[in-house]
Amino acid sequence: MSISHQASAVLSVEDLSVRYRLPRRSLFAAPEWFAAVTGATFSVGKGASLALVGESGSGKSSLAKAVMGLEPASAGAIRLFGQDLASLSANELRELRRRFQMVFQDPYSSLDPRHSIQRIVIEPLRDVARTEARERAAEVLSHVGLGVNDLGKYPHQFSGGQRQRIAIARALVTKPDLIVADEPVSALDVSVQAQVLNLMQDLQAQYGMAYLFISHDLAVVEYLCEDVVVLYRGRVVEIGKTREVMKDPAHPYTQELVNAMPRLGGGKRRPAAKQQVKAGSPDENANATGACPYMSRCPRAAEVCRVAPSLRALGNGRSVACHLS
Amino acid sequence: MALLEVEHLTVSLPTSDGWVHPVDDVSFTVSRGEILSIVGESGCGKSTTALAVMRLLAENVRIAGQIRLDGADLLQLSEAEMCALRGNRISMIFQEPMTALNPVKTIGFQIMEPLLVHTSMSRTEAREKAIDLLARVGIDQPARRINAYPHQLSGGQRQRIVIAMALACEPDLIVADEPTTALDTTVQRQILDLLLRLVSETSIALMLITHNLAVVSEVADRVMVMYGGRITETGPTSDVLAHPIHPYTKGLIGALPRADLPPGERLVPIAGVVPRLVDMPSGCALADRCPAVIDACRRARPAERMIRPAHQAACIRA
Amino acid sequence: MIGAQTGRFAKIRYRLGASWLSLWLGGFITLCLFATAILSYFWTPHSVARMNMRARLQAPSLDHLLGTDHFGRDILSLLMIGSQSALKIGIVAVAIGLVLGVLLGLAATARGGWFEELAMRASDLLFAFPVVLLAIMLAATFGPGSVTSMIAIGVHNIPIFARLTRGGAKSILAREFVMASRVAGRSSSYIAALHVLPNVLNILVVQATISFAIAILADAALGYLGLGTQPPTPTWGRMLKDAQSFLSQSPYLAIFPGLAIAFTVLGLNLFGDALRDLLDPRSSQGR
Repeated sequence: MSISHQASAVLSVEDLSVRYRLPRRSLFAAPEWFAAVTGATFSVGKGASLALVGESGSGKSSLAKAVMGLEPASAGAIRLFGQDLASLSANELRELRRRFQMVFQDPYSSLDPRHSIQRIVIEPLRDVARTEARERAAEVLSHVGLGVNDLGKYPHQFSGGQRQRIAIARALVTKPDLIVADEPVSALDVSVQAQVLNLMQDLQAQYGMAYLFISHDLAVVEYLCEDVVVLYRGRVVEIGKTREVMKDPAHPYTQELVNAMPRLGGGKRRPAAKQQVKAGSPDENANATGACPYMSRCPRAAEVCRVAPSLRALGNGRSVACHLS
Repeated sequence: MALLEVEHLTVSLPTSDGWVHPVDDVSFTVSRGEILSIVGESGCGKSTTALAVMRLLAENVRIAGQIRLDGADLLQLSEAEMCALRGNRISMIFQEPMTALNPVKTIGFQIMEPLLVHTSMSRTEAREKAIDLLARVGIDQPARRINAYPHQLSGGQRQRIVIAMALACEPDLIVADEPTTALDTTVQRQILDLLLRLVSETSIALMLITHNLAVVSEVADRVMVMYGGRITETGPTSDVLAHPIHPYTKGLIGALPRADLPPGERLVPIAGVVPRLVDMPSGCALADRCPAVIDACRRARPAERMIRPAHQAACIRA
Repeated sequence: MIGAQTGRFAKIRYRLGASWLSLWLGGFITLCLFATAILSYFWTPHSVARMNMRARLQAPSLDHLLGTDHFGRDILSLLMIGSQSALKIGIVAVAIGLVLGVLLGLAATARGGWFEELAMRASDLLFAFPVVLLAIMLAATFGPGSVTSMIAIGVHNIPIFARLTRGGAKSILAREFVMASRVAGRSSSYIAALHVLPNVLNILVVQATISFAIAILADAALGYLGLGTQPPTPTWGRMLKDAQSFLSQSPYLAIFPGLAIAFTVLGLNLFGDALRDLLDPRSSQGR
């Protein structure tokens, strides 16, 4: 990654680790930690759209929270618009928040049922006069396909898709340069999901903000995002152009993920031969042994995998963390 | 004769604005060894249809029509007779495996429970059968894992346990309500493969409720699309998905992000929102959202018509 | 959404729907209670300061509408005057518990960590401390009386409200709209006051009406021990206590104060419920 690229990046994440303290097993037990994200590095350019893809427990939501300054990083750095998030004071961070906003997964939980739509939408606008705030709210609501007369209504008066539009309006009201969207369409029905995806595309074309889009659904990611970062158990396993990664996944985990995607029009699958899955939850402390986290599931695992691979460039913006590909 | 025959099923629910019909005059059949998928968006009535077949709806709900299992109308059975059937000849798989399992009982206990209730098996026999079932749903070291508690298993394994419970009494019909929606993509693939294998091995009839057309495409023999409590289209899966007739089915397919979508191509959402049950149009339920709507659509409810062999749609414009 | 109905009144009525009756009835009873208390400062049917041993334990009559007690005092007048202390005790004790408890609960959840642990353990300690013991200690310092009992009962209410607030706040804090507020750059105190508090208000309102009734009874119990409101000031609670000895001869003595307490609690409960619905935008029907 070149220096100039970094300078123009809206967001750059460098060797980021996020860990959580687990509840103590007993009062005097030593604290235990769960590594949610380990050594993640990527960046989002101005007006670009990058997807973080992974299954539950891959650390994608922890990463989003760390980027939003909601969780502290335990190592590494997050730079937003060139400024190190950790070096900002509380006031500076609050000031900078205008420039990066978030859209959450569950539109039923992300809007306070006791606040009017106007109050919800103008929440990110601090220090703005009431009349001006109202005008801004009306303006962004019209951008997401709602009207001025919706300002006085309450969230329960709207459907899931409309609520997600309201949440997007709230993120949009400060005219941010980056919107972090955490599974923004996974709670929505297909027809409404398409409405919201198209809206997000249109808004990007209009305002030129960058998206960091978190999803488990590769089809949605391919539709909206040019670049993709694949996460597995808190580690970046593959980075590249979404289309190329989908067409020719380099990492065995990405391959598994792409193959597992149900496809329309593929025809009915033949009943597969009986599989045996290993019982018990997967070994959560692969990080402790220093082996490749995917080793236990990998069909190609070899002796060399006992040492975790680091991300290496394959050229053309493609990187993969695997010894064997 | 089909195993399950549902005829003119209507579910009515009292609200402050009068009676509404979450399921409105729905007829379909499921045969042994067949996977029928009921697909639609939230509020289309697919889950209510499933619960009606299981007779698990609330007391204040009115059910009309016939639900025949092997010729016997389930709606005529007493609650006690229905209890003897549930978990025995018909069983259900739920969306959320964690809430479907009792967290303080071992998985062995939970798989043995239907066996002890519905069969004359002894505890040792039931235990052996449970171990056998665990092996069948792909849990390794079943004899050891039988003493595990639900929280000691991953989400995918829990769903396997729920499937093992549903299989315990070797039912004729399994109703699966969004069985893979809460699971990761890779795990979803494994569970779908498991269901496919079980149906092909045992000639169970499977009613698969889902919102995911791609899942339908890979698993179902026949598909039934629902909207506003009514059937809009039914037919062989490949035919319905490749040559949809009803504008709603077309809309669902057009709105789906797909890997094969050419770059730059936009999704085509279905305009508007699903009407609430109390506001359901008197004519075609889709009338207010349909791009091909004409006046006649609003006047009368379209009947289901056979358009191609085994392929029906309820649209006057087809 | 409202159709032909216009105006604030119609809007409120629409929003309340079925709880319209609760608001009306609860409001009416509560209003009566306040009116009675105010009236009793100026006028009562009979004086309660003077005893009349010839007229003791009379059944209800035209002269004494609700009968007389064992000192020959008019029950109706006693009840009217008793409403003063009932309101005072209830309002002050609940106010102390509500204000301090909610502040403690909110602060504990907003700060978290060791502060939360400390605050909640302190409130457990307070809860475990018997209210009688607290009243004895206060009485030893300030002397017995209604103020002592108000404070003792109020302090005892603090942990109840603190726990309730914290429990509710915990579940609210886990909701995404709180995270959205943080992302929007809002401070913890903004979140506590504008997101958490409105969402836990409904359970607090219900608890407040319950605590109100308990406070009246607790004051009676303390009075019995010589720690609460002192004679000759009449209170409903003590009237009930005194009635015990005459229960077989004169059941009116127990019935009327009992009814007074029951009606007050009922009225406040209905009012509280209606208030809760009024505060909740979701209670409006339709879209």
